[in-house]
Amino acid sequence: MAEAQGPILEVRGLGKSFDVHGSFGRIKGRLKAVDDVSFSLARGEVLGLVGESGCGKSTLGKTIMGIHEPTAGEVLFEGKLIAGGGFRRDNAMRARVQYAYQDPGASLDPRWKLRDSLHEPLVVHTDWPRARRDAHVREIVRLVGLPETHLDLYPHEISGGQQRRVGLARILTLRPEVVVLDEPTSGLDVSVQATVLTLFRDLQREFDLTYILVSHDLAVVRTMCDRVAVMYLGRIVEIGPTKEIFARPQHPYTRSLLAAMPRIGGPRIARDFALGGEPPDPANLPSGCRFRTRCPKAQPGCAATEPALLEAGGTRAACFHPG
Amino acid sequence: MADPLLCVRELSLSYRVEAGLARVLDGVSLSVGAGEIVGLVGESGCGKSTLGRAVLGALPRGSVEIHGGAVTFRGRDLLAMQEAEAAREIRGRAITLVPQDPFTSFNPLFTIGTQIRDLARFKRPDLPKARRETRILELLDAVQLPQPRQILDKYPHEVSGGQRQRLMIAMALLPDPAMIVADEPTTALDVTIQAQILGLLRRLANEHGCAVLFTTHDLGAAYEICDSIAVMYAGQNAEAALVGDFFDRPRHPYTRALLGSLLDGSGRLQGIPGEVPSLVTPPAGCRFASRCGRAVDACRETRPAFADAGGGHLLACHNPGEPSDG
Repeated sequence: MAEAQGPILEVRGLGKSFDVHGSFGRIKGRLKAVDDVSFSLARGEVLGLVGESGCGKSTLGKTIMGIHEPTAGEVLFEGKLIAGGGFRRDNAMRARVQYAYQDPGASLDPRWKLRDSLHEPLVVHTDWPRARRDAHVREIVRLVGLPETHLDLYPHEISGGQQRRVGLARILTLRPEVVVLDEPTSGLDVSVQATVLTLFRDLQREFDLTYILVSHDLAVVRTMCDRVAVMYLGRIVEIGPTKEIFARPQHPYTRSLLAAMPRIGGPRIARDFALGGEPPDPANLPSGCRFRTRCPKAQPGCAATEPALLEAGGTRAACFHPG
Repeated sequence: MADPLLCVRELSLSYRVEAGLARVLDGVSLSVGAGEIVGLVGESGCGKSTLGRAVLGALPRGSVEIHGGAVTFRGRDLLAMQEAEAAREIRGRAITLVPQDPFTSFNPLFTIGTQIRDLARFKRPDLPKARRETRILELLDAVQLPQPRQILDKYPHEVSGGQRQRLMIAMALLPDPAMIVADEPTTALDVTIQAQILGLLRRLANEHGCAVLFTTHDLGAAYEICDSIAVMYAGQNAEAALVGDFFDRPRHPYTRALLGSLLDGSGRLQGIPGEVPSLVTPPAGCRFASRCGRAVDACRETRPAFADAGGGHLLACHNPGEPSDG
């Protein structure tokens, strides 16, 4: 990681809360979807965000991207504030940080040919004449591995893997520097998954991209990421280099997640499995450590205060009894 | 197996689509023994869900054409049986379904209790009301739902996806079935919840002697709980074997390619080039031939028979190579 250059992206104490509405729109409470999250990202790095559904990983990605306004903390891009404190980012900054949606098929207009969908970001963000836009679009389509003839097709006429390529092409037309990939392989067959992931790798090299990869699929994260942040109920509970996280996880939650991963050739589920229960209601969190209600190592002290994210083994973990 | 519970023999059927007839199942065979968990594995469009639905008699009427084959359950031919008779005795009684998406399977306007009690009245008219109620609570307990009584008063949106899937399994168990068709039951779930549901299915098979036909695209999940695995490709059988034999000695080039596309932590990425052929105008011969590295002329001309390659390991391939190869 190029320390001298400084991080491309820095997230400091970021929080995003939503109001929970009861009957007649009355506000019943606040749900902290993202709670006091900090990390920094080096240029060219791939950071994985993992956790169960509802852990806030997508909300975190969207808040960094600027789709949500943070309720606490800030996001810096190359040292300059881009979110937090009521800052509104301009179009030029929007183009540099992009978000790839989970289901690119659903984010393409079904009545538009792919050519029109790919021209749109350039129409919004540039004042290029049509010919220049067209040349650029054809170049990007070639780079994501689609035949040029596909430009005249409609979204429903292409496969799921190809829709993902179009979704990426659409983002890449603006030459972003940081791309948030939200569940980029969900719904794809494994034989197609490998080709899509290879494409992400190639494009990263080609465009000098930095990725935040949001996924519940630990195998994908292990294959693609330099570092991994594990989230539980809005907080990062462990963050560290991918190799360390998978070889020597320090937080009991990380250990449980890894234990739940099916491993062909390993012990079978019926004989060996630990993590019971489901995450508690995020609008009504337990006191102290939020994982303690499911934690096999929980002690009475875990209910008193929230553990901070501290060095433990080769990673940083928010746990009073790591390792 | 001497006498399997379910036996599908060379079943062929097509869906009527705009372009003609899509041959979704092409001479597919499968057997499930009593209390056995069979993993029916393949990628989207391979026909695994259609086969599950054919067994349940839940295919969309009017758009399906059955060309031939037989589906026998406890020795009786389901395809030859009268619709009403099959529905009364077997479908939804001796064989039940656990669907992929537990959310759309509930009516959002009624409490879970109302819906389970309705179903119990319909499925178990033999039981008096009080006995039905205890049976429901027993089942909610068997699928390890915390606070079963409270759950009955909730609406479907008030419980989590994992809990809804447990409820679907409890409902599938109501008529004391001999077999459950679980259609991608963990696809929509997180890995920790998936592990719990898989563990639950395994225990139900062990303790209640209930067979499970488990359709999945996830070889890892199939490895976890299945007694045997059957792989399908583009509407045809590719390979079937007992779980240990299957993962130790996979023989079909498609199975091997599929196992090779799994991410193993080494950072290596390897997909399967090419695409699944059209099922409306399928190629003669093996449907995998166009993507297969081992294809020879015979593969493109004649369809390989699905036959025993030794020790009950079934294989449909002209050129599988030795079990120890690659």
